[in-house]
Amino acid sequence: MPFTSRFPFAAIVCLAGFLLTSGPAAAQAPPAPATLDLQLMQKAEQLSNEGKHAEAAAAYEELVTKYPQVASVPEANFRGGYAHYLAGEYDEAIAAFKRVLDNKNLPAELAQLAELSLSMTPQVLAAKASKLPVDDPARKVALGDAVKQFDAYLTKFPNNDEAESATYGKGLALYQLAKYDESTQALRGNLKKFEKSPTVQDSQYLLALTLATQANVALQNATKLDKTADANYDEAEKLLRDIINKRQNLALMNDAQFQVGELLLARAGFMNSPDDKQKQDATFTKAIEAYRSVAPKDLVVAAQKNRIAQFTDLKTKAGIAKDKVQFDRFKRVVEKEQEKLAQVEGRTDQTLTAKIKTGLIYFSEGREDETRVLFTHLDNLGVIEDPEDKKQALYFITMSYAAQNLADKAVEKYNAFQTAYKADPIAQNLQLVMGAMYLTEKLNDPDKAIQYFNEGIEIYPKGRNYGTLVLSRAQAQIQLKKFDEAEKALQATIATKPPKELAVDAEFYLGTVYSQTGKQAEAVKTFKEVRDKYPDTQQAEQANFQVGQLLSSLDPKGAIQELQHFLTKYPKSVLVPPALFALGNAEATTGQSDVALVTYKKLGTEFPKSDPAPFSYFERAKILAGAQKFDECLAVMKEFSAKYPDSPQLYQAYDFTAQIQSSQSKGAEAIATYEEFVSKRPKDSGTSEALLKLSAMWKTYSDSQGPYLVLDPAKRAEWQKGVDKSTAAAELLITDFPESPQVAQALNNLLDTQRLQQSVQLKTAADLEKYFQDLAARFSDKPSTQAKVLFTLAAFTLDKDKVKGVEQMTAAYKPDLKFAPEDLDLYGQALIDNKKFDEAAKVYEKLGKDFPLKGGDPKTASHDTQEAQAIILAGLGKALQEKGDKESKEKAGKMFADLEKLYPWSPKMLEVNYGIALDLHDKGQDDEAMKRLFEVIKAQKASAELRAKSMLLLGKIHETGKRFENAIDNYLKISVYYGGVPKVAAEGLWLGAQLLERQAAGEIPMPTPTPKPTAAPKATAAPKPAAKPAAPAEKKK
Amino acid sequence: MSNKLALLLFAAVIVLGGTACEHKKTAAEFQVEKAKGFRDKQKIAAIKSYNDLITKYPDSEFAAKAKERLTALGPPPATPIPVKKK
Repeated sequence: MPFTSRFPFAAIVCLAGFLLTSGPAAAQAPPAPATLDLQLMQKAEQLSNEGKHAEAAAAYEELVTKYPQVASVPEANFRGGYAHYLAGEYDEAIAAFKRVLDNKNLPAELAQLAELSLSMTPQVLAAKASKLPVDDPARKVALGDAVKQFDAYLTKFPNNDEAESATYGKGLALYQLAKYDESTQALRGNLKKFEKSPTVQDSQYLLALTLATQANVALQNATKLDKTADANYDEAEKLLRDIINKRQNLALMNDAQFQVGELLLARAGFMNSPDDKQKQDATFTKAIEAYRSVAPKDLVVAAQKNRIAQFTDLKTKAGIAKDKVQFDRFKRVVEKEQEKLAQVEGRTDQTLTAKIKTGLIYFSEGREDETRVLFTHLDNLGVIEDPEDKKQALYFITMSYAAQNLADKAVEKYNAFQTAYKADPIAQNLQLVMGAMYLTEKLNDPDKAIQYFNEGIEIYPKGRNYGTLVLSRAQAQIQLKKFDEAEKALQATIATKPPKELAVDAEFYLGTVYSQTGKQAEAVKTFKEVRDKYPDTQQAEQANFQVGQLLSSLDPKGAIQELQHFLTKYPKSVLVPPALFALGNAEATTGQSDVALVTYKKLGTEFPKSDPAPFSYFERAKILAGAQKFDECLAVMKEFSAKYPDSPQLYQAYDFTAQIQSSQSKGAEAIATYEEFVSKRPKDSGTSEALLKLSAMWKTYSDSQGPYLVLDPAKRAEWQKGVDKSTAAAELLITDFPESPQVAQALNNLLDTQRLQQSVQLKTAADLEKYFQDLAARFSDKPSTQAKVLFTLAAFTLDKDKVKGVEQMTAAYKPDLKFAPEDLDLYGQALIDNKKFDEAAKVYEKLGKDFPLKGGDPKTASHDTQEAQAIILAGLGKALQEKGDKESKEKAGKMFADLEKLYPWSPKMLEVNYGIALDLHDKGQDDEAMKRLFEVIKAQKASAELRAKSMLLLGKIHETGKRFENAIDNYLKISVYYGGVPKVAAEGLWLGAQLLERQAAGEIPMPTPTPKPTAAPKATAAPKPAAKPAAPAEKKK
Repeated sequence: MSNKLALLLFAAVIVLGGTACEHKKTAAEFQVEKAKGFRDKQKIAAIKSYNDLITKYPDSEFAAKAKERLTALGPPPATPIPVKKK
């Protein structure tokens, strides 16, 4: 609150009264010629009336100097002091008032001048302080002197009319000296002593502000919960709301309304804990309500004028009634209120400031759109006049664009801000946010990010974000594999021997860079240095923890020591939970499973709300599962589910449980586990996965009943139940999670169950087609899901009718839709099967646009993008290979090689192995080709179709090598193992039958029997060979 | 009547079979017989495979060709009746 001079006008009023009443005889006598001193007095008065205060002060001083013996000297000293005060010559004013106070021979009738001088002195001191910079030591001295002088006045005139104002002034000076307790004490005294005063609400208002400030300061320095601060906030809000509710003074009421908003905004700002999120939101909402209730300037000005008119009227009435006490009192009130009016008229409309504050709240709550709309609206209206407000508006607009990763707009506004306010302290985090925007997956442009980080480092070399900027730049450099640059930049910073607070950051970040670049030993060394060189810093605590955590992979035994040391030294650290987790890991790694179980349990029990606590349950479960203690393992998972019913990891717990149940052949229990999860969390992100598992498990349940045709009615009913449940789970998945990656697999499951029913003649092909058409119709409002369903139908059609199948896929395909890579792959494969290689290439190229590679290095892209890229390489390679010309085949070979090099983990690698095998077979390198095919055939992740095709190719290779028995065996067994891949199985049967026919015709000679190996002695039975389900023909070799 | 016919046929098979066993085969005869047996077996297997193809994958592009091959191959060769060991 700005300092308000409260005495001058009252003093002048009193002085005027005094001067008028001091010479009644003179007033009645005929005018006498003015003496020289009187002429000087009149001149000074004239200058004062003209607002020439410095010149008036000089005239009064001249009178005092030239005519020290005249009676008007005390009055000239007082008037001179006041003129100096108005001219801003505070020291001179204090000296003049002191001359009045030091005058030991002051006549009794001039005693009031001494009282006025005494009351003016502290005000002048306070005014002097208000003009000094906050960090100027002279300011503190002036305020301290003011407090002393207020006390001097109050000691001498404790019951004077001005005592309330003097106490208020003292409270204000103490507030400015940050002596909040003394200030509140003084102000509380005023509230008690002058309860009925029309101006007592000023003290109430200042008391509220003091209490709120006291709470802010306490919470800024708080290390734990501070109940006193909460109590202060509560009292401050109550005092302000009391002013609002009493509706006595609209100007003050409006200020109080604004301050309620300020108080709540500050209070919400301290609610940082995730547990306080709801409370914080509610407080922000209340703050916005308070800001919205702030009245516009016009209304306040009108109300204030009305208030002045009311007191003027009361003053007039007192004058008519010749009630001098009341007359003077109302005059003082009028003067004070006029001063307030001048203040209100001179400042910006508070509704505007309130709106700006509302924008700040929106931004704090992550409501970027609302932030931007508000500030842009205010800017467009042209109502923001205050340069500071204008700057804030542009800053928040820029921040909101950057936070939403809207790069073009963010850059435009950022440039505008830099042009107008470059290096402004408000924007210290702007480069950080801009750079971070370019590091998001959406933009993924580390070079641009570095550009902004560099700008931030250059503009704010001593800024509070310097360390973060250097580290962020290092992270971007790491992303670009510019490890050396990151390291060099940090080392260069360290070499400049920066101040300790920067050096510790730079060294800590260097350790982080080492850690992130896999230089674990260097990282440990650097963190140890931070820990030892800067022992009392927060970074030392973190470094100590990092040493332990890093050692858990390098030297688990050493890690245990370090982590135990950390836990002993920093028992209250926020890093205790992750340290316990790392300790548990190190203990488990060194074979101390029982100790690890205790550590993990401690973490879960003592820090249940910490981030690693939920994971400690999974670690315990893993240890117990490894030790075959399945019941205990399931109990731990159950405990987790009960304790963290809203955890994002809840699905993992259910999945873990179900997997253990499945491994123990408790399929029904596993199904029940997934079904419980689905019913408990129908909208959870894990539910789609649970439904997919259910769909697959129910199908397995049907299969487990045996071949349908030989089943009795009861078993058939169970078989049908499995099919129906599998279908229902898959349908629910597609309905409730149409955009989930599991949809493609769910549709495959649906196709499988439909085909199963068709194979036992419970359904016809027409029924199946109708089923998928009906399913597609249910998603008429979700074109991408509908397209996926129709793709599945097309896959079914494709088996019978290639042309129609491709037609259906072409109809479902919409280039503007973003399909799952697996679905587009299906289409691409179908086009390839139909020899539409160029169209297939286009489909894969579109997929490349949906999942572009940015930044040059595929390995830094997201997992989804890498998977899509693998599909593209496999698909394009296959299209080129099937095209068949030499050049295309060479290109295909290169693509397959790239895929093998860049994405060796990709499921498409299996397809590529098949593709490479085809190529090798073409080149006559059949041994190499067979190795690749065996890899595919034995891979459980390979699709049935791919395995079937590999077996077919293997058969062809055997046929080429004249190993006809092996060839026939492979051909015919395709229909046994992969009957669900009709196209390949039929070809296998055809090719097998052809060879058999040629054998029957004698075209192929009867095979020569291979001598059987001698049986191994019974006592030393040879170990059983690993099952090779996909190479049955090889056994005959 | 039909019972009598069956009994006569069975007796003939026993007599003929017994006569054949009495003649010691040369290695060449043995080889020829074995080759014939192999070819018959492969023919039966081929017919079975074509039948599988037609039954399991009637919509396949190979189904029509398989039907043609079945017609061309004719009926499967007679399967020898195994001799019961005493």
